[in-house]
Amino acid sequence: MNYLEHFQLVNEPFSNAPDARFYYASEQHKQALLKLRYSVDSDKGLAVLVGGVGCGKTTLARRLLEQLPEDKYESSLLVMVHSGVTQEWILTRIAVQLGVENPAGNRLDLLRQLYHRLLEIEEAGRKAVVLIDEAQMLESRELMEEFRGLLNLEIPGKKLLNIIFFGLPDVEECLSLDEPLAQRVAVKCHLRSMKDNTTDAYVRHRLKIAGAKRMFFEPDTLKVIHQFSGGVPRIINTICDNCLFEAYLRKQLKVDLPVVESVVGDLGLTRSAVASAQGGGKVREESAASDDLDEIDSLLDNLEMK
Amino acid sequence: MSQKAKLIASAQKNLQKGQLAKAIKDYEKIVESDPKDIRHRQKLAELYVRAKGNDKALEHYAAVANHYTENGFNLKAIAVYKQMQRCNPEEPDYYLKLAELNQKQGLAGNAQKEYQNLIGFYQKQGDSLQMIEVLKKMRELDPDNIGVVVKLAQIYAETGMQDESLELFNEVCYVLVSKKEFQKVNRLCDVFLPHFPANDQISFEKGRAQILTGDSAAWVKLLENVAKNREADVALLDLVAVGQRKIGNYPLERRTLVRLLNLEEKNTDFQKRYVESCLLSEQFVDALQTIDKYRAGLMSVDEDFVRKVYETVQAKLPDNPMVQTGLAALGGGSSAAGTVESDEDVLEELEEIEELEEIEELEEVLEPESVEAIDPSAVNQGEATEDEISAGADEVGLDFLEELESELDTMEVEEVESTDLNESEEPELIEEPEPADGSEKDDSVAAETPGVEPEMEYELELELDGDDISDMLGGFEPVAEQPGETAETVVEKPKVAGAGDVAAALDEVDFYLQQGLEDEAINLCQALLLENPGNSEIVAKLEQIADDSDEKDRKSSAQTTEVRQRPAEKSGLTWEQALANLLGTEPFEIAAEDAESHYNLGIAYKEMGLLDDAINEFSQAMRHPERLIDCLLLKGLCQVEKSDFDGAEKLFKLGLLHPDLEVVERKSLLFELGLLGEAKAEPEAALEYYKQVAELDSLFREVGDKISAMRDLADAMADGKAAAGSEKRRSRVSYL
Repeated sequence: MNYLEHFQLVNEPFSNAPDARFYYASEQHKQALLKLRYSVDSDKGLAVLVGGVGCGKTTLARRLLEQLPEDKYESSLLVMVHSGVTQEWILTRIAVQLGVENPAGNRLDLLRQLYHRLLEIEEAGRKAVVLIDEAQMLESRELMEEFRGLLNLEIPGKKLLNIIFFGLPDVEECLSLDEPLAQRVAVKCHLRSMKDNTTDAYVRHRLKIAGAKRMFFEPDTLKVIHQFSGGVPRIINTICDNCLFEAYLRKQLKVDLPVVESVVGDLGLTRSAVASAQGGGKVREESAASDDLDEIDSLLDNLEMK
Repeated sequence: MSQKAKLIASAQKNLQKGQLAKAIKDYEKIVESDPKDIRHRQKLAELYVRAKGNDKALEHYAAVANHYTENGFNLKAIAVYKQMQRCNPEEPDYYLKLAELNQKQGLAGNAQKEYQNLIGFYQKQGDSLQMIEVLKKMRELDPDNIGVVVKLAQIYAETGMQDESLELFNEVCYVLVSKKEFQKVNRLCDVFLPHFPANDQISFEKGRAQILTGDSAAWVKLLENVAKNREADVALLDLVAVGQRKIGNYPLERRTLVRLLNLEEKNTDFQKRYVESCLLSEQFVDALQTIDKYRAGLMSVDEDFVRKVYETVQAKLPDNPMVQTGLAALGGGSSAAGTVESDEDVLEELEEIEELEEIEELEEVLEPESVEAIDPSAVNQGEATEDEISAGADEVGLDFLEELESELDTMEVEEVESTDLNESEEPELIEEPEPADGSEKDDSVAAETPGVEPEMEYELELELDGDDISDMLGGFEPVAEQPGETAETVVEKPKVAGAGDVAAALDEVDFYLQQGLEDEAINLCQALLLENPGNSEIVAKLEQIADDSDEKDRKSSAQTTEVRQRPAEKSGLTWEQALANLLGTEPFEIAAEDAESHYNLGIAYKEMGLLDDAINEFSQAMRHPERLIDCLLLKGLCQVEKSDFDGAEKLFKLGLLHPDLEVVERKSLLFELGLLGEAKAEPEAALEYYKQVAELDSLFREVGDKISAMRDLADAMADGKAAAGSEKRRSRVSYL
């Protein structure tokens, strides 16, 4: 028996693996999606979504991809997994993803193929969209220049390709490697950690999708979870998942404060550290924000190690 | 694991994840815990640069640079300062430090470049005192660089340091005069005269230069006026007399010579010139009286001259008893050669001598000593040999003067306009000498019009690692050089007819030989021999080619020949030509130790990520054969880092064509080409190169793994392409 049976759940409610069913449309997520859709539908060219670690960028990227039906969009999500990619690699991959057959080895020929493919897509009344996740890994000027070149593929009055970068705040640094590209950013959205009432709704939402018939968390626990998670969805998931398991071990049908405190203690989370990540409503210095981001990252690293 | 090791691991992990701020924190802690850890401090500085924290970066770089400097790691210090210079190009101290370190390391060219930059910086700031300090250092670095000295003198003059300026002016002038670069002296004076309009020394030099380079009349007049106040200045009067002769004003020449003879009565040169002047203006009585007066002294130095004078005068004044007396005193009535020349012959001969040797004579008259230092007795005591004249071919560049081109043009026009070039009136204050013939009439003065100022041409000789001095000093407009001729050749051509052409053609022969074009070299030599039959230099060159060819035949193995021919077959170029094209200059022209310094500095730059600087240094270093392949490799690697894959590929492939490539070098080049294929996402090409490496050495680096990986990747890409081309639905999510 596991905690799914104990709580009569169909799915794990707080898995950190991407799963579109659990997508929670918070207000900021809705706004971001709207803006990104607008960017694509009006052929703005380049849009950027910036968010801290664990704030749901990848989830949003996949959500957006799902919202782009294939009959109207030739869309693709490219997830960067290491920073050593070359211009040729990325160009070849984008070409393949957009449907270029037998991509040429020569860069110029490849660009020509890509252009013809984009014209085909356009003539079919569709839009070509490339989403790049973990775009902060594109840390060379040459790559940025390559993207600028792609954005220059256009016909009179219309861009043939839309690109959306999803990444950590460092993505702005990458963009700044090529000032002309930075100037081409037509839409920019920021994802921030959630507020306490959103954290509450988020937990409820995920439980509901997982098949919960009732609320397993005592009301006072959610505030504590929010404080320790800093409103970062990934940390919320981790805490909640552990809390359900801990409650199951204790044969409790509800997660109460002692369970939460036990879990955050085991996870090595501190209230002050993560609380500061949320900012407490105060205007904070940029450098402090950067430090906090690092702290969150450290917490997530620690969680991964455990 | 120690705390430091943990921090290092954490920093590296953060860097891999792109967590710059966090990595910086880690390195800060590392450096804090171990302030002497230079390597990590340097890394920290680099990260601050990436994070655009230049102030912090500079702070840490400074500590690193100091450490390297204090411990004698000059090349590393240079690389760090270069990085600091990038962070803050407005800080002059970095240029200075770089210059000093390069100087210490023996990289004079690099040092000069840094000093040049510094000069440019201070020039923009209008900081003359700092410019002076830098120029002093440049002078220490290259004492023979005349351009630097002139610029320094110029700045001194502009800042009111007149004594210092004049001292340097004299130094430069001495050098130029000793090299017979009178055109340049002329221009030098043009630079300094506006600063020192009343300076007799500069006026003298200007006059001398003008007289010797063509525009004599105006300056003879000017020097005549100067001489009014310097009655006992032998050198000045001598020059005035030379100028007067040159413009054909014989009466005034004689008056000047009289003044000179008053000062130095026993100077046989002045005596002879006085007599010559008389003959040239057909003042035979005066000539006779003078030769009679100085006969005893002149006989001892040039009996033939005395005899010819008597014979000339005899033809004109056959009844003059003094002639007979004189000839009798010489011990015969005929010339030393036993033939009596007619008066016309003698006069003609004199004029010919004047025409042919005019320039040599004038140049010989004037030695480089300053006015006071000229020893009149030494004047004109020997014939100018071609060798002596051509010594001037060791030309000194004066490109620094070229900014003043337009200004000078204006000045020259004004001078021409304001001076009566056909001046015939005699200077008022010059005392009439002992009258030799009061009835003298001399129209030649008015008839002679000074030549038009010859076009100023200067060679860009003051090169500082490729940059000429005009670049260094900034704002100086280059002067367009007349094709085919320099100031030097203009002067020398009449004297050494054809010699320059042969020399130039032989240079071309050498060039052909360097390029391995032996047939062309031989053809050119043979053509030259047709034009210059029996020319010993050409014959010697032909013999040398034949000897070299025999030697080469003996040495060359069949394999080497095959390799050497390969590039020629493919591109029509020899390997050396291809290399020369790549370098943009002749290869193999620097000393081994210099090449080593450039090589080491290139390594340091590369390690610091200063790729362009590293490429420059490797380009320098590869001009010595010892480091050629290493540098080709490293330069290529820098280009790979810059994503210039095509450039890198060319270099590696060029290296593979080297006729004497060692196996280990071949393996390295092939392996790098394999890596390049990977970087270009061309696994099949990479695979081919790796296979070639494995054929030579299957254990070389990780070539076995590479071959496996490339095979897999090539297959995967082929599958991917096939999938892309199929009707099968593509996954919309992919990972890269």
